[in-house]
Order: sequence, then C-alpha cells, then structure tokens
Amino acid sequence: MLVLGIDSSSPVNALGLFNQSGLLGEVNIRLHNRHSERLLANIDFLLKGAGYTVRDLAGIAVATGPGSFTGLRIALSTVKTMIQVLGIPVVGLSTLDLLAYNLVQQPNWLVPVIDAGRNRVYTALFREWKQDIRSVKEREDRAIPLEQLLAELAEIKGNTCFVMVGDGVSAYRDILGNSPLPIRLATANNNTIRGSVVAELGYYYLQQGVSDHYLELLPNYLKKPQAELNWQKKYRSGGSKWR
Amino acid sequence: MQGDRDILILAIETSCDETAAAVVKNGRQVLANIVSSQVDLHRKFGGVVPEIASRKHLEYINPVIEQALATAGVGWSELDAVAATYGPGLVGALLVGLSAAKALAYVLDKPFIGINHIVGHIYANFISHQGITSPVVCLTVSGGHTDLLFFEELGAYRILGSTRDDAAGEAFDKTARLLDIGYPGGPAIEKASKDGKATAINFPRPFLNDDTFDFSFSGLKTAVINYLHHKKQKGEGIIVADVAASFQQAVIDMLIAKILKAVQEFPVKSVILSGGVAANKTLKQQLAEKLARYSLPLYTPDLSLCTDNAAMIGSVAYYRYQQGRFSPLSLNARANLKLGEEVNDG
Repeated sequence: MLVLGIDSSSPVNALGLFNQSGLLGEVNIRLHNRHSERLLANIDFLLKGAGYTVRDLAGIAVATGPGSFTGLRIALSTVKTMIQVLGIPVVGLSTLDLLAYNLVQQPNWLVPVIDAGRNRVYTALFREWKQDIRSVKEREDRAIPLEQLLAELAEIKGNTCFVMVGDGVSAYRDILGNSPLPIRLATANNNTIRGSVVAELGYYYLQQGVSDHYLELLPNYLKKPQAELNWQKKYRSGGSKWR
Repeated sequence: MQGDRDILILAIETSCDETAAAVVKNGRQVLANIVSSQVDLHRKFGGVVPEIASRKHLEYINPVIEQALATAGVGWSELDAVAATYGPGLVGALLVGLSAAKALAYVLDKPFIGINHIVGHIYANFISHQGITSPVVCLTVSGGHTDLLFFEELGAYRILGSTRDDAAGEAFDKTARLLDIGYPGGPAIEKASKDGKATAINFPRPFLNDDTFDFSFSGLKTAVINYLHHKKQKGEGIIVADVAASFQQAVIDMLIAKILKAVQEFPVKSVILSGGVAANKTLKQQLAEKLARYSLPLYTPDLSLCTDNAAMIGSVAYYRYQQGRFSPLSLNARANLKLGEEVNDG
C-alpha cells in the first residue's frame, strides 16, 4: 500500500512516501508563503524520485491542523480533489498528533505546543508515546493561553515529566524555561512536522482501516472567523435586544 | 490545431463568494454551469468576510465540481483541460479553487490554464451572444478598472486605452456618496438621474477629443465637489437629480467618444460592454443609437452570466487552449491581478 503524506500547516512543506517496505522518501522544505507554488512540484519530485506516479498511490494522509488556515486550505483543496478523481482512501491527521509522534518511545507525558500567537498555543496531551498515538491522547486539540496550559499541567500528579514539542517550544522558550514544572523541551530537529512521520502514521491508520470521507475532510481551525466572533459579541451578549 | 474535434474544458471560479464550476464545449457552448452562492451567509456582516468565504469554498468546491460533470454528462477522461480563476479577488478564496484545479490537471495529466477574472466577464458575452464576430471593440468597466479593448480575433485582445486615474465605477460611487444617495453608486446615480436634466450643469469631459483611447475621471469628481461647495457657500440649494444626470451624461459622453473613435479606426464588427457599467440603461441606449449609424450591434451579457460564474472562465480557457498557452502548476493566486497581466502567466 503506497501512501503519500502531506502537511502544509506551517511554513514547512512536509511530504513523505511510505509502503510496506518502510519510508521511500521525504521532502521537508521551509517555503513561507509559497505552498501554492510548490506543493504539486514537490509531490511530483517525491513520487518521480521514488519511481512512481500519482496513479500508483493507494492512500493519502494529510495534516488537518491546527495550523495556518491558508496552508491547510491549500493542502486540503489539493488532497480532496486528488481523492475525488483517484477514489482512494484518505486519512486526516492532527498536527498535534504528528508532533507528539516525533517523540518516539518517550514514556513521559507528551505536550505538543504550536504557537498560535499572542501567548496562545494549540495544544493536546498524550500519556506516553505509542504508535497508535490517538489511543494515548488524554486531551483533545485546543487553542488556549500558554499560562492556562501550564496551570493545567500543574494539576497533574505523579512523578513523570512533561516533554514539550513543537514551534511553541522555541517561541516561548523563556516562559517554559522559568516554569517550576518538570518540563523537558524537545530538541530542535523534533519541533517541526516531518513528511516521513505524516506518511508513516497515515500508513499505520489506513492499514487499520481508519479513514475519512473526503467531503468531510476539513481543517480543524479551532477558531471561529473574527467577524463571526465580533458579530456574536455585538448581538448575542446583550441578550434581550436581539431575538 | 485541433481539427474538428470538440474541446471540453472544466472551469472553476472562487474569487469572491460564489463557488462555481462549469463544463464548456468549444468555448461558447455551456454544458453545465453550477454556482453555489454564499450571499446569505455574508449578509448579516454587511459584506463578504474573506475568512468565511474561504472556509465555505473548501466545503463546496468538490460537490460543485461533481455536479458540473454530472450535469454535463462528462467523465474525467473526456476533459481536455482544467481552468481556474487566479485573480483578481480574495486571495484565500482564490487559492481554494486554484488548488483544486491544479490538482485535477496534475492527476488527470491535462493542461492547466489560469484565467483573469476580468477577462472572464468579457467572454461571458461570447457565450450569451453566438452572433458576436471579430473584430470586436469592448469597453470593460468596474469599480476597479476602465479599459477599452480591441479583439482582432476572439482569442486575444490588446488594450487600446485605460483610465489614467479613477475607474468610472469609482467616480459613480464617490459622486453618489457626495450626493448622499446610496451605494453602489452606479444604480443610485442612474435612478437619481431619471427626473434630472442632463444639460443642467456643464461638467468637464477630459480627453474627450484627444488622440488617445484613455479616460480620466478624477477631474470630473473634483468638479462635482467644487460645484456642491460653491452652491453651499452661496447658500443655494441643489437639485440632486440635475447633478446626478449631468454627472452621468459627462461620464457617458467620455465613454462613448472613445468607443466611437475605436469604431472609426478599426474594422469593427461587434461592440461589447462588460462589467458593472453594462447595466447602465442610459449608456446602453445612447451608445446603441450612435452605433446604429455604423450599422454595428451592441452586445451586453445576459443577466444570468453577469454575476460570477465559471462558464465565462471556461470560455476564455478554450481560446487559450487553441493557442497552446497553458499555465504552470506553480501558478499562484494574484489578489490584484490587472487586465493584461495574465499574458505573462501562460
């Protein structure tokens, strides 16, 4: 089963190709705002380099966020449309699951943190590392202030430490470093999503028969559009005035 | 170069708040034209919210494509090319349709053609009116542009002239605001003009008889401001209908003068209006009367193709296909794409 993994939720475009023999190849390139220009070219480079064409694919795994809205939409519009034609299974993967998966064999709490700006993070919580990373997920993906995350972690009893991973580690290194909690920070090479991991985890779930319907595959934004929030504030908080 | 074989193109358009896909045969025959409008979703915000538009496009794009193919009764393998609007428009919205179209072209191994939305609106005429034959003179006007084009053949145009400052639509909007008669300015001015005297005030008509095909509307706008200011200082009231009608007539005179200049200089067979100004009845009526002296027909697009749609994109793409002018899969969305700039992209 030949599986292509795709992530463009961050400035890095990460692609991987995986089958029963293992990893066939991967591409990880920091693109900034050029996902739209480079995504198909990078996919083509990876497939051709490994000796395949897009018609050989048996499945696709794609990161569904949280992350850059625009990046996610480029990848998802591309993947959904590929699936519409190819008719092969697809699985959407959480970017937080993918970051936690980087911490192979870790027996400690895994805390992925993606910088959401203004001292907020996208985060989730895993009891330990397992290949079936979803089975050890204790808390679902959320967008919360970093302070709230640290306060919640302080409530967790036990002797294990918290291993934090993701671009939030470098963004908030000072705050995390000054915390009294037993925190360990992942090394720099683990703080981005890698194409090999998207493809490997996607291959694992697709092999288990876990997949999504392509029409229902949408970004996990974790945030309503600002205009919607403003509208709700204006018309819903007043109570009696509206409706 | 294709002989007599039919050319089928799947086109996608997501530049604003309509998710649209169409299948067009040989450029002028629409087999399917599916438009999923989000207008109800944006109404409560008083305008299109880009982030909401982008999210909805991603939800609707694949069902809309599916429906277009089903309606046309066309399978993936029968398509000759895939086209999409890549600008101008909301960049997040454009990227959804553009990414889908490029992915289709890649997976189907068919040519991809990126289309300028403004050009699409001009070609909507070619679909509405099978009688249009080249050479064509076309005036295309909106809130953002005013251009006079000449088509030697239907497949390619050159810009004869453009506005040197404000777009005509912009002048309408600003004048409507000065007169406090509502938005958008085009329909508001036309409505207010109805009972006014077009000869009441002699507003300036720059470039009316010069050697270029260019337009200028900022002087006219200033003249309206000065007129209103002058009247106010003297403590005199104004007749809104007369100001609106005189302003509108000045714009129409300038537009018609340059169209007639083009008609006299080139061997024209058809004249086309495109964009918001194509809805102005006074312009259409006066222009049609003038063109009748040259035995020239005036064409304006059917109302059904005036709003955003993908059929018009498929029409442009057909002519590009015939010329073998394809776009690279690296084509990015261009929020501020101008008329004429698309020639560098395929």
